[in-house]
Parts: sequence; structure tokens; C-alpha cells
Amino acid sequence: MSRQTRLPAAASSHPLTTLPLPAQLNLWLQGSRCCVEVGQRVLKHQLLAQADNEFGAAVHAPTSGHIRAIGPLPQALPDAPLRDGLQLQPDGQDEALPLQANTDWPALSPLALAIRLQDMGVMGQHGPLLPLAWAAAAPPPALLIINAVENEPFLQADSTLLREQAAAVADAMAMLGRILQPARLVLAIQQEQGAAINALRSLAASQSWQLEVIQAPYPAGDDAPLLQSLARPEESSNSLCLPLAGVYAAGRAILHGEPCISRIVTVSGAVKQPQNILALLGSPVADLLACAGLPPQRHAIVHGGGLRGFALPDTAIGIHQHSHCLLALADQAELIAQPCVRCGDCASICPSQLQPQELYWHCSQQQLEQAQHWRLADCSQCGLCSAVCPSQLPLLDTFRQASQQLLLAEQQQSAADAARQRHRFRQFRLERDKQEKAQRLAERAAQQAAKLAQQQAAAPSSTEPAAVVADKQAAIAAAMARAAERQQQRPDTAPSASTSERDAAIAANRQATIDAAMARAAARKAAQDAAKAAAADSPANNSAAPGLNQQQQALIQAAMQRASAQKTAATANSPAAMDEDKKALIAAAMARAAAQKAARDAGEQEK
Amino acid sequence: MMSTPLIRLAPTLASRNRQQLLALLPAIAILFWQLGPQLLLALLLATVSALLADGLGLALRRQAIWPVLRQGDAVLSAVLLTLLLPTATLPLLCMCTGAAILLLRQLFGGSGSSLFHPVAGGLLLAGLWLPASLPHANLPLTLALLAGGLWLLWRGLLRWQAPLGLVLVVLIALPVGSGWLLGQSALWLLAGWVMSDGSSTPITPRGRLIYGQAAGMLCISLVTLTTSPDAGVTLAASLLLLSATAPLLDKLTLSPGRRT
Repeated sequence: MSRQTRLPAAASSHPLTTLPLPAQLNLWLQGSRCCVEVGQRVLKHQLLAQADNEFGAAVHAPTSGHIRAIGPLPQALPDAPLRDGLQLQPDGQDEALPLQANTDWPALSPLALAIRLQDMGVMGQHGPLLPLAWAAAAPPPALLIINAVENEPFLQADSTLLREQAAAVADAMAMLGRILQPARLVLAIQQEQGAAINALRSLAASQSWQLEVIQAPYPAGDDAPLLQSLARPEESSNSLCLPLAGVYAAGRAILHGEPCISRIVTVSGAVKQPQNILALLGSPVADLLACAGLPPQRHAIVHGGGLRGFALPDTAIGIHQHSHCLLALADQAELIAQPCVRCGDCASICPSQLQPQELYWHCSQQQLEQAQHWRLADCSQCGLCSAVCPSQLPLLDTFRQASQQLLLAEQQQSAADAARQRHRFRQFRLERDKQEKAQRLAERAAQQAAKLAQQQAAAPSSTEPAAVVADKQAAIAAAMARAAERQQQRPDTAPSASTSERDAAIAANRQATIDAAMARAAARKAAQDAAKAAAADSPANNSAAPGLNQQQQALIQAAMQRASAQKTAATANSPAAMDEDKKALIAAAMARAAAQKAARDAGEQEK
Repeated sequence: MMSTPLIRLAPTLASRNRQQLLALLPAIAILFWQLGPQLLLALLLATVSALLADGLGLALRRQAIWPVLRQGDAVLSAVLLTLLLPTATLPLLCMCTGAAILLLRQLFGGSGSSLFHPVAGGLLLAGLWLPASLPHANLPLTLALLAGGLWLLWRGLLRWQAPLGLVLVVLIALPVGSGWLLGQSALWLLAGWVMSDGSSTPITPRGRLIYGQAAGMLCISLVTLTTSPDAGVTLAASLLLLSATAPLLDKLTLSPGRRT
């Protein structure tokens, strides 16, 4: 079965129009924290929400108006789940903050660029356009692909963008090339996007990037197949694929200082005049459909292209940065799925060489482990299996739901792990405090007893003052050790405030989740090492000098504390473990406890 | 909320069955020319009994009747059995059609899970009562069936691995003296319309090829080693026997594939 011939031919390109200002905007705060209040008036381009994790992006006001509500809103995702959202009522004045174009952009580092794009609300496929972890760690990429391929039926947004804004896209690519310094910069486009190819050919000749025309059928425009087909073997491990709309928005954000507040959406299907609409983010779906002329009878509204699209139950939902396309379909009778007749067509068409019929069986039986065995993770959710299934089984929907369930389970697992870690640390902290208190009390009692003995033995002798002096020295040494230890820890607990390290600190904080495991392992190892060292030292000391008195013990203990604190601090400061403060504290405390215990044991043995 | 697929890249089940019936039209025309209006009566009665049996089975299983009947599985089975069995004995035809559908399709849980194809089963059932006379080769009917099969192949509706395996084995076994099998219309009917059915054959291409070859070998051994005169019944028996191995073949040939 040849896929190429069976996919409907691309329709002629629709005109580009601009959506009139909607009466309400429903914005999605994706991984971001709101920094405005209900009732507040905001200006166009004003920051509404700031990214609060690695995968979020800032949200800016698409126009001036009043904030009407902040809270969970249905979003344009499969099954329209409630997610953090914000309702903005435009006041029609479109009063904007002045845009501040940065002229210093050539000096930006990749990480600084990634952070600035995140702050400008420019999103890629998942989260910010440039993944922060990637930008922080990576050497210059060997291959950077700008993905403008649209071979899913009905999609035209990227082609329209290229046709209308070819020069701006070229500028944005030149900017990315300048900062990221990829060895090869490629704009991937499909054979059928003829007008866009012509617009680009003349530009590509004078620029540092190449134009690659893809001829393979759907889903060759997905990131993974595109990387596979364009990357040379030596480049494949170090290449990145960016969506065209994001690259264009990045160009606007960096070169003109304009945050990402709009996008082009293809509106097609059973509308009077299919067209590409430049719409503000958050514009209700109903407005876009009305702009293209939706006939009055009932329609099923689909968000996304012809194969991946999913139904939207509600037309008040606002569009977001991934809304390429909206389709209106004449309402059909609900289809009744027939049982699988084992025709095997889904397996022969699957681009990932999966066995969708097996996968479907396990997913619909909620056997997610079996589904993972049948490589649910490799499903690119292209929708071809659903489109060829003669029994009209909802394969794509089932795979989507199962993947989401797996993702949810994973998140819950990691949350549970974090909670368990917190609980262990708390128990350990309580235990440590108790021990320290007991030790302090014992020390004080010993000191008082010594003082009492000194007073009682009124007669001065040559040996007693020496003992007192040694006692004092031990106390001073212990205090100094504690102070040194505190000093060792301070740079870790207080975040560095110097401006040159700000970016790195931000990235480090955002990377905390990634590095937590590594740091935990490092801290555990350090603690084990310290305990081992203490255990190895004490018996040696005991055997070498059986007559050690209390003061010498204290000196040894202080020295051991200092050594273990230094060791932990060194481990925590090493670049491999960037999540430092808490872990280092844990490790130092554990080391201290281990050393104390060892010393106490030694003392007991001595007695 | 399940979303409807916007774009269909392959025909639905009902349309598939319609096209398979369409591919049988030349063969029906040839038989009509040879037998006369008796064929139409047989077709009608067989179809009615098949629909009744299917409806009865669905009602007993408390399933919705109409959505399944309109897929056309029952009609296709009835037409195939009419073409395979002699039209002179109408009660036998009706009984075998109904019994096969009731026992082999509905009892197993519907069209998706019938491990044994009802047409092959019905043919075997009828074979018990059929007179043991050597059937003559019907060349025009064979050619019409071949044309219909090729049309299905061109439309991409025929899963060709199993029929190809069968025909290959028959061709290789020509020295044994099984060449007369190729002239039998039953062979082509079973190869094109029964062996290409997914639910009674393995699902992987390799499994289907093995299935077809094994069916061919079994059929030829039965035909040459015993004195069974009817190629159709023998082939139906071997198909039913091998359908039982389909789950095993699936297990052997199906793998999740390479992890990426």
C-alpha cells in the first residue's frame, strides 16, 4: 500500500487574514506563574506570567485590557483538560508598552539566548524553543534543522509564514546561526510547498544556511524522521530540530524585542472560505471559525491536522502556541467501532514499525506494562493506523490516553520519591539534633565537673594548668572547626549574587530536577567515604595510642569534622553535581554524625 | 470523547466486503449463464439463512444486530458457499450456511474472533453429504474467479501472502500429478476469498506465507495419498486444520520489533 498516493493532495494555499480583536482572550499559562491580579489593567506586551520551571515559558498580554479571571480553564488539548489559564478582556485600545530592541544580541551565549527566549514566551515543540538543559551543556550543535515541513493534510500555517515573511525568517535563522554556531544550518521544506520554496531559494543563495527539500511522505516532517533523514551519521548525536513558527518568533523577540503574542492558524474543512488567520494567542476557537465563515448547522470542531487532530468539545477554548490548524467537519453519526479483523494494515503502514493491533489490545485492557513491551514509547502518534483501520478502531486516541497515563504515573512516582527523600531527611535531622543536644549537655557537665575539681584542688600544681590550657585549646579548635565548616557551607546555601553568574545560577536552579539524582548519589558516596575513613581511623588511633585522653579525642574529632566537611564541599562544588545546597548540608551532617559516632565508640572502647 | 478520523486512507469493513462481493460478480455471471435462474434462488436463500443465523447469534449474545449485519460478512459468506456448493440441493446449502455461521462465527464471538473460517467449515460440513463424484473442471468459472482475484489484488484488498504460498506449492508439486487442482474453481475461491481473511490466518506476512504453503502441502498430500475426489473439501479441511496453528504462527513470527 503506497501512502504517498493515498494522502489527499495539498489544497491550493489559502489567503492570510488578520483576526479582528476578540471579545475575550483565554490564555494558557504553560509552566508559568501568574504575576498579575484579577481586575488589573495590563498593556499589550506586558508580562502576565513568568516561567516557573524548565519546561514553561513566559506569557505576555496580546493586547491591552483587564484581567477577568485566573484559574483552571479548559485548554485545546485532547479531552480538553483544565489547566492553569488566564482570561483577558481586551479594552479595544491596544495600548502597547514600548518595545526595547536589544542591540547586544550577538554577544549572547546560547544559554542566555535560551533564557531570553523563555522570558519572551517563545515556545518550541515541548517547552521553550531552546531546551535549557541542552543550551547549558551543549557544545555547538553539528546540525540545526529548521522544520518547515507540513505534510499532514490541511496544514498550511508554516507555508504561509514562509511566503509572507521569508526575509524575517531568514534574519531569525541568521541570528540563531550566529549565536548557536551550528556546523550546518538547514531549512527543511517539502516538495509541495512550491511558493515557499521559490521565496526561499533566492534568499538561501546569499546566506549561510541550506535549503533541503523533502520528498518522503507523511510523517517525514516529524522531528525524529527528519533528523534521521538529514543528519549524517557523525552528526546524528548532536543535532537539534526547531519548528519554523518558533524560529520566526525568536527572531521577532531577539531582534525587535517583541514577545510572542500571536500565531498563524489554518482554518479549513467545512467553512465557507478556508484561510490562514493571524490570530492573537488565546483567541477563542469560535472567533477563528466565524472569521472563516462557519455555516449554521452543527459541526465537529477538530484541533490539529487531518491525521493527528482531536475533537474540541467547546469552542470558547483559546488557541495556544501549538494550534496550527482548526477544522470544522459536518457532524457525522457517531461511528461504531467493529472488532479487529486482523487485517494487518496498521502494522504495514506504521512508520515506527510497531504492531498497533497488539498495542491497541493491551492499551484497551489497561495492561500498560505490556503496552510498553510493545513499544508504546516509540509511537509517534501520527494517526496513520487509525486512518487505515477498516474496523475504525480509535487506535490513536487509545495510544494517546495510554501515553498520558504512563506519563502521569511517572510523575506521581517521582513525586513520591521526592516525598520519601524529604521524610528520610527529616527523620535523620531529628535524630541528629537529639544526638547533638545530648553531646552538648555531656560536654557541659564534663566541663563543670572539671572546674569543680579544679576549685576543690586548691593547691596549684604543674600538671593541672597544662590540662586546663589543653582543654581550652580543644574548645577553641572545635569552635574554629565549626566556623570553618560554616564558612565552607555558606557559598552553597546563599545563591551567588554576582551578575556574571546569574545566568548559570538560574539555569542551575532550573536544572535542579535533572541533577538531583546525581547529587544525591554523590552525597551518599561522600558520606559513605567519610564513615569508612572514620571507621578505619579510629581503631588505628586506638591501637597506636591507647592512652589518648579526652582532649586529644576532641582534637581528632574536630580535625575529622573539618576534613569531611571539606571533602563534602569539594564534592558538592564539582561541576557534575550542580544541585548543591541541600545535598551538601545533608552530606556534611551525615559525615559529622558518622565521625561523632566513631569518636564516641572509640571513647567508649577506651573506657 | 473519541474523535472521528478525518481522513480515511483505506476502505472500511463494509466497503471492503462490498468490493469482495463485487469481485465475485464475473463468477456469478458465468454460473448464471451455466445454471440459469436456479442460481439466483440459491443465492437468495443462502443469503437469507446466513442473515438469520447471524442475527440469531447476535441476539443470543445480546449484541446490536443491525450495525454488524450491515458490514456484510454474512452476505459474503453466503455467496461464497453458494458458489462452492452444488445449487441442486438447496436445503443442504441453507443448512450448511446457517450452521457454519452460527457455529464458527457467532459461537466464537463475532467476525473478529472466528478462528475457523465459516466458509471452509460450511464446505467441510456439506462434504459429509455430498455425493462422491469426481467434479469436472470449470474453466470459465476459474478464469472469472482469477480475474476477480487480480482485481482485488490491484485494489490492495487481497492479503496475497497466503494464496501465493498455496499456489507456489501447487505449482512446485506439478510432477506429483496434482495439476488438475489448478483447474478447480474451489481452489481459487478458497485462495482468494477465504485464505485472505485475517481472523483465521496469522497476522504477519511471514506467518501468512508459511500458512499458505503448509495448507498447500497438506492439501496435496491428502489429495494424492487418499482417494478423496473433491479438491474443495480437502482444501477446506486443511485450511481449518491449519487455522488452529495460526496463534502459534503469530507467536513465532510476531515481535515488538527493535527498540529505538
